[in-house]
Amino acid sequence: MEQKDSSKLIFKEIDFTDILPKIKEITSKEESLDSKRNLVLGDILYNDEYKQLMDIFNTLLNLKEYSERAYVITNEVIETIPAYYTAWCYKLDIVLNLQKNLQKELLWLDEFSLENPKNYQIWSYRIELLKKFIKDKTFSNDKVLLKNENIILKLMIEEDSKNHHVWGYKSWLMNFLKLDLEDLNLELEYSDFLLREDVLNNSAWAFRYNILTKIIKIADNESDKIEIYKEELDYARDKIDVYPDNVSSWNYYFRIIEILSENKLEKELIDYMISLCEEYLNTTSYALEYYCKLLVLVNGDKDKVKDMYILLRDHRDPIRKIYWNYKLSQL
Amino acid sequence: MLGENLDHGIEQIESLSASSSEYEDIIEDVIISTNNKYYKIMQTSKTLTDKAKLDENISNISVDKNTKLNKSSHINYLFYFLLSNHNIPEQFIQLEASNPWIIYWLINSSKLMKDLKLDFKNLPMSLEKINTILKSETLKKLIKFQYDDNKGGFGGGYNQIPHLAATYATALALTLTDNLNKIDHSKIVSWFDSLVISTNSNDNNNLLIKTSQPCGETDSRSMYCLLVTAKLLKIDLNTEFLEKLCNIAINLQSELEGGLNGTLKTDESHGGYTYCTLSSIIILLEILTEKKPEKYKGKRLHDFINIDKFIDWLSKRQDFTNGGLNGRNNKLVDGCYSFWIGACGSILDIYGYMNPIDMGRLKEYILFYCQDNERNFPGLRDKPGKNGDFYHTNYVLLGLSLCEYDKQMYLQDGKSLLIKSKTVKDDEEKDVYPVNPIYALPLYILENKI
Repeated sequence: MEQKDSSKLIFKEIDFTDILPKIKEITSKEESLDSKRNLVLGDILYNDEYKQLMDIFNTLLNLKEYSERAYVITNEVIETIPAYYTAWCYKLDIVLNLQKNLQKELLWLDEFSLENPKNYQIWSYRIELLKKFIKDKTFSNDKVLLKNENIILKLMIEEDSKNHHVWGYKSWLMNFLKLDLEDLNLELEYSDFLLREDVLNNSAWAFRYNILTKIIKIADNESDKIEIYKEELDYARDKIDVYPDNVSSWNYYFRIIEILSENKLEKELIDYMISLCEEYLNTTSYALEYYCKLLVLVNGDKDKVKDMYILLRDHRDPIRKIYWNYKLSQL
Repeated sequence: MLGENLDHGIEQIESLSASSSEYEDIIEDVIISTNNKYYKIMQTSKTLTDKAKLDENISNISVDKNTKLNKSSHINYLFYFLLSNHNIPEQFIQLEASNPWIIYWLINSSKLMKDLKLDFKNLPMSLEKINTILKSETLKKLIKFQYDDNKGGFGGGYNQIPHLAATYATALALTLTDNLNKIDHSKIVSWFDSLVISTNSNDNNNLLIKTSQPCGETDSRSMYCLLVTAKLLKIDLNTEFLEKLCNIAINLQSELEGGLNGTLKTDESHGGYTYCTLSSIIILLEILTEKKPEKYKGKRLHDFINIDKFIDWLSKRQDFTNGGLNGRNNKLVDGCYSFWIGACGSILDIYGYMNPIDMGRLKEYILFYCQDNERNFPGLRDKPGKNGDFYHTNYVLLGLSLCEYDKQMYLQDGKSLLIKSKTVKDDEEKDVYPVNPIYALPLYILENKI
């Protein structure tokens, strides 16, 4: 505690003496509520500095004070407890009311995010800032904004390539911004970069599929679309070759086949997938599993599917015994 | 047409099924050749190195097949924080925005375990006395967190703004302590309304629910928390609003993977969000069947989502080596998914589909690896190498219950709050009570509340 004179309240070198009566009012209300309690029942222990910080914070919040000192205190609370969502909400109100420089705010948020990668609040706060940027036309266009956002996102994915929060935000961003083919192709390359680092990174596969659907949406005509899908089949096949025992790459491969089958699945593609499955039949149970899926999709030989289900159930994938029995019952 | 292409593969399959010893020889060859060919990637892929580390940790644990739940150790841990008037230490200050969660995790965990033999030297209390104390003290504590003249939503602590997750945890804790009728929630619906934001999309599903205002998440967690709170507090929600929510929820299934996502169908499928979305759909269909029978009567889950794709995704969650569940493809198992994923399986089973998860193997993962049997440490955990905590203790125990009462649970009168468990002979030997997979509470707690 920094204060000496009890008639003054100085915290972090800022004078809060004027709100002392209100602090008293708020704390005494809690004290009177607590005086009726006989058990702490999971109350977390506070130290004196935290207690003082929160007294000031709660009072400013109660007064709805939008000021520089409130801004400092709010940041202090967030630094102490990143998940303290009330402070994030209050911070947004302060920042908008004081018309603070939002780009500076974003820089602060970048740094904070790198230190607290598993936090929820950094993303909802970021989304609010982004919406404001778009409204104010802060960035000259979506391309520039995307480039800017990708700097922090790449750093965070480098730290943890499967962080669901980061991917969720990136996915939101891809929907929020108007992107052209050039942007999307760069994102596709990025997913490839990640898959070269770790071909089993399911987040990167899901992201690739997300980008692919966006590329397909803006493709000119049906034959272009089919060409794009065929390229993706080759891509997934290469990745299966890199490490065959990988559910993500098989699943991606088969999803493309499934899409193509909505029109007419060329015999060539069926044969190609069969040869792929056969090549890895002994290496991974996924070769068997997706072989079955293909045969079911194209109304292939049921007996053969049955044999493979039994093999999966009894030998190759026994942890999913219940599931394979269910698939057998569906035949 | 396919016959010729298949011949080669089938030959191999036949040779594999020929005899088990032959099969083992082949597998051995495969492993050796795999090691050579894929050696480099096994050293560089984080997915594979993480998995190898966990497998090693697990293989170092000597397992006693007769391991039971260390009830006395876990209950001591829970009652220490609930009843002994000890504060949670300062280093857990990060949980300060989750106070109602702490209460829910602790009380729910303690109420899940059966046949507690209370033998505390410093705590000469009957279970009945404990329940009375918890009832009055929980109410006094949680009422502090209610906003808007003590009539609206709840925050994560005193002086914290209302938040859907905190309100959900509060509703569960109040249900557990029989305090639901002790609160005034007359302003909660207008608070719900304040959380709804409209999006610019042209389709009919042009709304999102924020966990809090002005900042908050808008995923299916917020939807699930709102719906469960409304169900428990018997709050009547607007039909049009519910239909919009339903349209959002049923459009969250990943086309790529089959899981039910939290925000966009193009995201990666995830166990936690899948649970929230599935439970939301179940609750929404139930309410809409009552409100709009002409449209929803007789409609079931498979009329709205691709159930085969979903079961397929769910069936891939279990780890062959240890029996635990993960939340996503190519991720490590975590004890908490015993509930988030285990409950999805139970819900499917209860609602007339099937649970693809081997609940017997899951139970082994829980008893062998989610408790520290060697040192008899209290609390349940994510995986070996981690410490137990309140969150995992609760969700692992809930998961254990789903294992113990697998295939016994059933739906009565189509009401999710009335899920029941058939009585069977070996119920007496079970360590925990049956739970409702949609509301994450023991069945006996919900029995008298409807």
